[in-house]
Amino acid sequence: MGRSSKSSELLPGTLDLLILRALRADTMHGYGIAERLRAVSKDVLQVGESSLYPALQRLLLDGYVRAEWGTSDNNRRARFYTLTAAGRKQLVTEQEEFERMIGAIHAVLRFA
Amino acid sequence: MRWFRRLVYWLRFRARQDDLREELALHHELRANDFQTQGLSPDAAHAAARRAMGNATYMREDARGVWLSAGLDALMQDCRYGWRGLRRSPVFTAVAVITLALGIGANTAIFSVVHHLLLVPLPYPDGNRIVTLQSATAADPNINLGVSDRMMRSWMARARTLDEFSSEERGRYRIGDAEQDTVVGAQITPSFLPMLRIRPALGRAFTVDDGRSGAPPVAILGRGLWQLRYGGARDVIGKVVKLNGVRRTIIGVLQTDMNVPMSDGMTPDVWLPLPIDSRGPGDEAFARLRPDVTSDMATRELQSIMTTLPDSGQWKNQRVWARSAVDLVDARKKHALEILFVAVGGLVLIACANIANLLLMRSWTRQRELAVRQALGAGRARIARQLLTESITLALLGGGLGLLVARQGLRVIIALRPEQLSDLDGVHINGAVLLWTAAISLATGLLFGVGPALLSGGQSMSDVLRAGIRTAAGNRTARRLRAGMIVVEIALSLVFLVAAGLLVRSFVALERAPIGYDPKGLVAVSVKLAHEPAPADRGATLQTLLRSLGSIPGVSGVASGALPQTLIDVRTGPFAIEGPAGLQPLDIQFLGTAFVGLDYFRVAGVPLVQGRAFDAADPTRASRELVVNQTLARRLWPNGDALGAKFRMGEGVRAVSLTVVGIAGDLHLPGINGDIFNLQMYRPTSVAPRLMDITVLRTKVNPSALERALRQAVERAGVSARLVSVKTAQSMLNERVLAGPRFALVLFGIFAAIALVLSAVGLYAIVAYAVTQRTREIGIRVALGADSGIVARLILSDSARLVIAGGCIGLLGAYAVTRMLATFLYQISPTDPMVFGGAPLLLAGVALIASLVPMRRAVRIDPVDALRAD
Repeated sequence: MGRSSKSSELLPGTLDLLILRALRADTMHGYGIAERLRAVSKDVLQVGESSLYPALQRLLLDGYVRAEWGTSDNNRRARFYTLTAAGRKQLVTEQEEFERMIGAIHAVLRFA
Repeated sequence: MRWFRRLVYWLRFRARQDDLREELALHHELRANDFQTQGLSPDAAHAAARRAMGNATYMREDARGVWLSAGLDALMQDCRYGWRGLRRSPVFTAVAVITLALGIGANTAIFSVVHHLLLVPLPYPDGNRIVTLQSATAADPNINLGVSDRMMRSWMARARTLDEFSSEERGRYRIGDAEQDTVVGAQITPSFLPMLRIRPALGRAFTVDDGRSGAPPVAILGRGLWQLRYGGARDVIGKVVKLNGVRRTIIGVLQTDMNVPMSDGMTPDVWLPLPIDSRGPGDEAFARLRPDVTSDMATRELQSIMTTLPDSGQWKNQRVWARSAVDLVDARKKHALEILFVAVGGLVLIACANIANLLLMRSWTRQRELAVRQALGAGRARIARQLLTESITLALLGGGLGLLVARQGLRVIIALRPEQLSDLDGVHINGAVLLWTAAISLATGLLFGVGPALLSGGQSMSDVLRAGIRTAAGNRTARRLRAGMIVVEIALSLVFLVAAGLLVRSFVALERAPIGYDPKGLVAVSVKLAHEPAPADRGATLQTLLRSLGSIPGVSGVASGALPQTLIDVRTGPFAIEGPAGLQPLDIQFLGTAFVGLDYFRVAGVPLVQGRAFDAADPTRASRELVVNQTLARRLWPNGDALGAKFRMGEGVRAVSLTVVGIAGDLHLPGINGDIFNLQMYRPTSVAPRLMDITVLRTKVNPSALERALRQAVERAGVSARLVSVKTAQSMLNERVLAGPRFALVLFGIFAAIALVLSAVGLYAIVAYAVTQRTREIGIRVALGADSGIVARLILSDSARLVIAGGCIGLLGAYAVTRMLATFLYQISPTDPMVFGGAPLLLAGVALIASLVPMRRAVRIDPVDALRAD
């Protein structure tokens, strides 16, 4: 009984970008990613688990991230995600695309 | 790359699923930890975490939906769900699978046989253009007369529908110097191998010159013999092989061991040129159809060529045919196979109806479950698809088990086969049949899967949920559909019962039919002599042998001759009566002739109704004596003055004049049609063309216990003979008369039994279901004062209506269908009143039993429980 992902508060397509960005500096498990996004965005971006994990699966399939089982801070087995080279390239592309889009939206908001 | 990763993920489905589950569990825990550090109690923290995360299953499904495409995911879910559902109701599953397995298995077994006999084409290029040329008496096409050299020549000269005429004659040949080493050899015309489009792998084929008299003897080896005797050596060409004492030069080797089309199935080991000048009737003759010609057209042309021959009067009682391989499966056999096919089709139909019914009922009892699923968001299409998946799973299980049933069934068929189906060797479940089975099982799955699936959408889910299972009785269409299917099942079962009943009655009649002699204790003993004695010594040799056999304890009589009705030569005319008014030619072309010894009539128990047997004292006089059977006597001498009458055979210098000395009783092979042996004569063994190597003897001892004594007696006789075979008259009758009908009987008996059981199960299910559905209604009736008789009547009247409707349709159907069986029935009409009366009674009895169990449950319904439930 597949359900389409519930729409997050994010702009469509930005979740992948945010995950890639969060993984740029560090290898993280799923919960870590969610927490990082929440903390960095000062609680503005609440990434729901129901969109986070499908997004991670998608990135895995696309080969942008790699997953390995490791041990978490509190000694639990956790699945850690790492950015791949393809992911890095994709991050750059998506970031540029996003900035172009934001710029355009700004322009519209300001002058239209 | 993406598709590759997806494939890997898909293949490692379970592992990936576990990864995901563990990951989410960790996520949950970490979140709960966070809540705890914010001051919540552990329990509250977990609850809050759960709330925050939402439905874990959905989440998992969503996440894995990324790597497992949604459709595939749903399909796997359906399969798992279907499998779980089937496992949850093992009785339903078992009944359904076994029903299907029986239906499909029987069908596959029969189809394998039909495929083997009717559909396998000849393994030669354009094999279906090859025809065999045959001639037979006009009266009975089963009496093969062979194609004579003259016929062949006239056809070759004038036929425009056929070309590449060729002949073949089969025989056993001694090979080398050892007496007992024999091979199967085929003498062929030079055109034979080209006609089959076969060229030798080594060496050359025969030329016209090879067949001329005085030509150096040559031979072509088949592959098997080449491998066996010459180790497959390539330098075998030019070597010499000794066949029947003749040294023949090997000129070629065939690539394969090829069988001759439409022959008895023996593969020739060695091929020889057919001598050009010695061709006579008895050969197998072949030709190829010219383009755009059918075998019927060729037959008409051959026949018309015959009538234009100068002395065409001689042929007027003879018919000729050009038959292709498919035509050659004789009409009766074809008819039998068609009937079998129809019968098995009916069986599969019953099986399907049963399954459909079971599934329909199941889908109704599951309506609540389905409504719940619908309420949880499953679309109607999704539910229909799930039911369909379940049906197909069932059908595949049934199909697989059916294949096993088919294998066993095929063994049974081969074990029981009558002589007419002797070419069943090598029949097996082949690829085509496998596909056929797969198609049937899948079609069956769709057939009975679609019904419930379509009907499952009939009701609104809120109704179902509100009403509860007890009163959700299914709508009218569905009820009618189910009742209709039971009616069809019952009708078909009745047809099977009637068919089986007719065959039983016919078989009993056959067994009791008079055959004209006493088969009990009559045994035929075949011997083989190392050397055929000179004609003058024959009598003495036979006497020695007979004396030795007669001295065995328990043997009460011995005489030369074959079992009655076997090994009768066909003597061709012209025949004439020598009366006082001169020579009176007879309009008879063929007479069955048996060569018998002096004591034959007494030993074999063939009654001499008038006159005597041959003269024992004077062999020369005996050689001019004749015993005729009653039919022949009546035909030739209607006034009853047969004894002493003169009968003439042959013409010109070869004419023989014979005196009728006795009239023997008629012999019958009951159930065998077109019996040429209606007109029969007996002549003494002394005039037989060769030594009579078969002896009948009558014994009270069990023949199998006698075999050793017989073997010793034959050796003791000192005529360098050995025992070849011992056959009882009863086993001969069994094979020739009873085996076919018994085969049909057993098959139809099995069919009828399966059909009856399936319908009984179907009826039981529908009645039981009705009782469940009406529990509340019955409870109310009982509460209002209905006694158990009224309740019983209520339930039984329902099933009686179905049985009566099915029975009436079935009787009409049987009346229409059993005509097909007419040619297989002996002295029983296809509308035999006893069968048509008895079969419905049996059906009614079984139906009653099937309804009794649920009826008893209905009678025992406690109104208090029934009304309180729900």
